Amino acid sequence: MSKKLVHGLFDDDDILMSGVKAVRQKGIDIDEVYTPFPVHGLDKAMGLKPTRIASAAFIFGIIGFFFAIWLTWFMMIEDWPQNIGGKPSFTWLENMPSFIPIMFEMTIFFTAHLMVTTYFFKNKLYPGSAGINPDPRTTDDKFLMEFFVDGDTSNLEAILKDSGAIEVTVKDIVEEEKRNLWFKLPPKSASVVVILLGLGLSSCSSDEPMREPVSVYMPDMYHSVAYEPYSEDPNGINSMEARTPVDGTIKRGYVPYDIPNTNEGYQEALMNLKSPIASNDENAKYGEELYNIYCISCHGINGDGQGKLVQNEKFLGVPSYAASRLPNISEGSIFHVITYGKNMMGSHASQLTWDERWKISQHVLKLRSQLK
Amino acid sequence: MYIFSQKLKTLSFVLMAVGILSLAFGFITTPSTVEDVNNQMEHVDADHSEDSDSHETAVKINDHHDEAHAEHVLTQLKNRPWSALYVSALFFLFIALGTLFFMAIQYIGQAGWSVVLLRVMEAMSTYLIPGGLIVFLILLAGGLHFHHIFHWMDASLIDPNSPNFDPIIEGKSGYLNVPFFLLRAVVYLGGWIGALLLIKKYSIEQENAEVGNNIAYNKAFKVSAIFMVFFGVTSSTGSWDWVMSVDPHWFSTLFGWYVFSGMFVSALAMMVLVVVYLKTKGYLQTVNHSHIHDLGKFMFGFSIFWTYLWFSQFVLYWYANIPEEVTYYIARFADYKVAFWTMVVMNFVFPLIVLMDSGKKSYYPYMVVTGVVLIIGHYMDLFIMIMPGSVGSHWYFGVVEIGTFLGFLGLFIFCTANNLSKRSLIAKGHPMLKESEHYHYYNIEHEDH
Repeated sequence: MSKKLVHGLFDDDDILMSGVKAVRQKGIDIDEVYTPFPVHGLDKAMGLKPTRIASAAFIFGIIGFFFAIWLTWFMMIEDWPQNIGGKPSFTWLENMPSFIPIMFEMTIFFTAHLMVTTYFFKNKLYPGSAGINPDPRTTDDKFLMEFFVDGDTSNLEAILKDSGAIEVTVKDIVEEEKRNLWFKLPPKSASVVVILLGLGLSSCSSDEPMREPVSVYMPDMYHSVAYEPYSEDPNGINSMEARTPVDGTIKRGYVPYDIPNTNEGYQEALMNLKSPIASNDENAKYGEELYNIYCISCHGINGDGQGKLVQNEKFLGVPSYAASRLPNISEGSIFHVITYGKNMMGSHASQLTWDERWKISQHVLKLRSQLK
Repeated sequence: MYIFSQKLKTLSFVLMAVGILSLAFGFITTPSTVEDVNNQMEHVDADHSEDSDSHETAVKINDHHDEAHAEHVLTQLKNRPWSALYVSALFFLFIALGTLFFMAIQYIGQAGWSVVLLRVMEAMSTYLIPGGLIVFLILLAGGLHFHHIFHWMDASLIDPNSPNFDPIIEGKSGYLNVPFFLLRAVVYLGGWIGALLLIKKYSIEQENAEVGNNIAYNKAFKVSAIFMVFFGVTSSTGSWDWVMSVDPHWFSTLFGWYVFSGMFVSALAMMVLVVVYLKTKGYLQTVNHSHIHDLGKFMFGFSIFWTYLWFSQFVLYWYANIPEEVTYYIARFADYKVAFWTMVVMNFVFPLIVLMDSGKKSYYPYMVVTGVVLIIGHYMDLFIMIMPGSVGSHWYFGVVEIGTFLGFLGLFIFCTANNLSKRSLIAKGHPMLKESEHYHYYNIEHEDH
């Protein structure tokens, strides 16, 4: 039996989490999960080991500390002894206080630099490393579980499907297809890598392709202690974490409409409100398209009040736009009615923006002119 | 609600009684005349002559058996019980002050994690009131010449016609004079205690306020911010007045920070002990390992900070070797060598090794042991700051030193526990209480043990 690569694709982080738990419950190890953002608690659900970067840092610090002892001894005592400030360099111990800053700095220097290097190597992020993401959709909005399986995969496929995977793919692993990082490195980067490895980091690579999931890094991002954006917050206004906008806030692109929804307001719109947008073919055509989406089912394609719903007697009393039926309308009053509604007709202000309503008004006037 | 158990009450009274008795013992056994001193020194010589190794020392002391020397020794011996009292009083005052500083930081930083510890901090810093009073009385006693811890208070030193005239101290007399010195002490203590009482008052007001009404909390923020500016100046000048002026010829520009770092570490260590004590008694259920872990991080970090300041001063003095400066360490190396290095090991090496690992900081045993070591270590640090200037080579860790330390510990326990028992243990109504209860540091996995 050859090795198989199984990918389960999910489109929701909650479903992914329950999927991870379901798979782990069956005693199957997950090799890696690719997500577009850190998913809280995923590391625990996957059973990832905590990072050992702290132990590594300690060892690096010790190396730096002893390197500084050797360095100061060699430079100041052995190779080129000097008498500085009446303190001749006879023995290292006698001059030790003046070497403490160097020991301190070297400890920090070694710890910091080697820790960063280790971090990059352990997570395969060194310069020139090939991307190891098997599916670019995981950088957008999809989540992917990856398994390397010996033998039968049907059981795993079934579990993945049951737990809500939208896509399960199984591939045979051919030897060349192993995502072995060393083969993909361009020569220049490879030499950089070799030099960096020379710093004492030869133990980070592995023969098995990604058998070991990488350790958790940046755990703070997985374990947010902050309130979630839309969660309850006892101290927030209305006990919500999200705040209501400041009074008088107008959302981007929104144009306020000041004429009130009253009979006087209607008269005001009828007499005085003029369209601010140009009367041209482009606007009329756009108005027609919108009309055929939002208005047609009641008002009919010709504006004669014989839409599908009226023909089926779902709504009655929808007037024709014709001058004989509605003698007294203007573009202002049409806009007013679309905004607020009238009689049986509801407000369309939430579906249609300000300029869309004006464009529909234009189209309605055009229909009216064609009706007898 | 915390109940001040009879057992702890008895313990605190016993400790206070030990303190008073040992202090009385110290005053009774102090020689009162030059003859007594001479007798005592002969006695010491007799002791020494039995031991051939210290024969040389005995000869040296014999050589100095003139009247002036005996008088000097008498002054130092008379200072001893006063100095022991003063070091302990100041040490515990600093613990309370460091706690107040930490509490103010929590308000200024609008910290969420520490809310469940606020009442402990309030109770601990309340010791400022009795502790401040005692320190002030000791300073006042110095001003009235009951003791000579503050050498510069001697009026003959600034009298140009006196044979004791000291131009260096005369030059500092604009700042170092008794009335101004006592006035400053009143201002420092008044400011600190004022801030403490206001913060405590607003804490109770916030507890009783309606949900969403954070006026009292905001007031506590303002008081803390003002206190912090005041503390920034007075913690430095206070340490010059009360600690550095014991060696009036010497001065150090980073001394205020050095004293502050020691005070802060002791306060954190004491806070750990109090919190762990309350937890073992079943109180403070909402305090979890993450809170202890944070106190551990502060303890570790500020121990390193203390070492940094200590070494910054030491290495420059050592390298430059300027007589005016280096005399400070000469005095400490000559007579206090063992205590001096033990103190550095306790305050630096011990916490460095024990607390370096992240996990250890959340386990009570490690934290308690480190806390105890740090408290003793920083007591010794303060001891070594004061004693060389006041008693010189005539120092011991004897009945008076240990007794007064225990006495003030008793007073501190009584004051803290008494205060804790009067209010609820958790600052209810604090706007960030919830956050504190849910506080969790990611890599702490273990449950209560």
